[in-house]
Amino acid sequence: MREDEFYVGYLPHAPAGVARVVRRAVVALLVLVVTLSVTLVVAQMPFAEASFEYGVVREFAGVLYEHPFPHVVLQDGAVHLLAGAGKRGSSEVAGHDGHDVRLRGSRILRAGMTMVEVETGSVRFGAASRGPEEVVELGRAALQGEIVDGKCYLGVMNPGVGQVHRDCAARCLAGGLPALFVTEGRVLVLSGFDAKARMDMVGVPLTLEGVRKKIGGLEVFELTGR
Amino acid sequence: MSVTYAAVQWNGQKKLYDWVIAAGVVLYLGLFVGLGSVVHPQATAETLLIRGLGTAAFLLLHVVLSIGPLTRLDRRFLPLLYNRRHLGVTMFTLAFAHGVFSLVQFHALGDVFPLVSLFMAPARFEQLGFAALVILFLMAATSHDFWLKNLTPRVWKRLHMLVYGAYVLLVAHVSLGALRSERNPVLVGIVAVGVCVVAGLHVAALVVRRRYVEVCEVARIPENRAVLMKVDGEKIAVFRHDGKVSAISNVCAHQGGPLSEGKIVDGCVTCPWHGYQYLPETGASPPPFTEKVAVYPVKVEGGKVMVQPCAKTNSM
Repeated sequence: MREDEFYVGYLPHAPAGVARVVRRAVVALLVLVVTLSVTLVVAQMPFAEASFEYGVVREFAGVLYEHPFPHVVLQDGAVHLLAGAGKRGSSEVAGHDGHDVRLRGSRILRAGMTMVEVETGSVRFGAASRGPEEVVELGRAALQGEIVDGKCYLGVMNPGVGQVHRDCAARCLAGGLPALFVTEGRVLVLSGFDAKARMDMVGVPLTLEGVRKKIGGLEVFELTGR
Repeated sequence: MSVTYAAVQWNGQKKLYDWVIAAGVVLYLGLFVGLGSVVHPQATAETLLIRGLGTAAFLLLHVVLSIGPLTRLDRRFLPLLYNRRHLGVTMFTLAFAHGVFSLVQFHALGDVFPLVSLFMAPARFEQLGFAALVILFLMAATSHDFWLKNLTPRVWKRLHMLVYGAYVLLVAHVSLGALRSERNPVLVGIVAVGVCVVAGLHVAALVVRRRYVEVCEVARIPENRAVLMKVDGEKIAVFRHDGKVSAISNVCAHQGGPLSEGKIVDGCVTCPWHGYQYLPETGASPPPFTEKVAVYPVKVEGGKVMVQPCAKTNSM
């Protein structure tokens, strides 16, 4: 740059020395843009194998149970947890524990667990055909893990765990979606957790004390203390 | 310069500047989302978009904050400053899109209104991001010269200095949010380098502005008179009087007369054109007059006069 070079923005051209430096700066910035975008993409943690069959509506028939969270036991014995639209539980099925049920919805799948987002207005109940599900107590336990909402964790959002998803999980659980406890490689349905009162416990590593149970086909952790 | 307000007073340099901004943004987002969907096929489009928009805005904020000190260190970077407000508005637009997508993704369709949900939420990092977004909105909305004139330069400048508050909030937003979920140390390193670059450039610019420059020997200045010095483009009149040395702007606040050709009369620098007077230590006219000129820090070491080219006060 010559000493007398002076840049004025509204003139057609920048002085040669100034323009040369700015061209180099722009090229450096574009290289930074490419380098950073590629690095940030690669450096992200892997995303879980989970899926939400958005827009794919299937029909399900079985027996409805409401505890600890609404779920349907299909004729082949498979258990599907139920969710409502958005960040809300499936309120349509309330008051029909043990009834035959037919409903339509979209599957949410992760690691052998399935949830169904129930299509509004699609639920049809039959007679109350069954008694309560068999409950088997597996003993007391103190488990380390993280409280998540079942709908996001199983595939509607990815990632559905951790700090970034924490507020969403709290809102989903406050809306009545099934709570899960992700612990040491296992995913348990969490019973007895008051999400609205204890939002601070959602989405962070913690230790919970409770009783492990098998309720029908669901593995459940019933909370007794923190 | 203009006598009327226009949304944007376009010229060739501004158009070129904006094309480069657009190319950079499209390149970044295209790579992040495009490559992201290949490398992470399980990631949803919303997640990639939220992350891409957020990181693009954060990167752009670093560029915006680096330009100021960079131009003080080397004037050849001044063209980057010329249309910086468009860079700032682009950064706000990206941050706003990131915020809206995140609000919808994480707070909509629940049992309370999304903004209420945001403020009830247990992870505080989103609230920090919201606060930063409010500041960035105020800056983007008042970036036009209309607001500069109507808010007055002093208020406008103070408002726009809040960008540093927004930056601190966003560093906390990223550190308490994404960096606690994504445990790759490379990401922590990138944020740390960004903070160091912004802080380092500001400290370097401050050091350069506050360095003393040797201008002349004291003996060269006649008693009660001055010599004219040009330091970093500033014309400074260096006076000697009563065993002391003072440095003030060479330009009289009255009609721009050359104060270096004036004389100390009754303890005041007196302009040779119309006799306007200024106290050499403060640059202020003696009461009841209110004119003021810039003064510069000055010291004498080993018979040499040293001046800081950064004015202590100015006539604004």
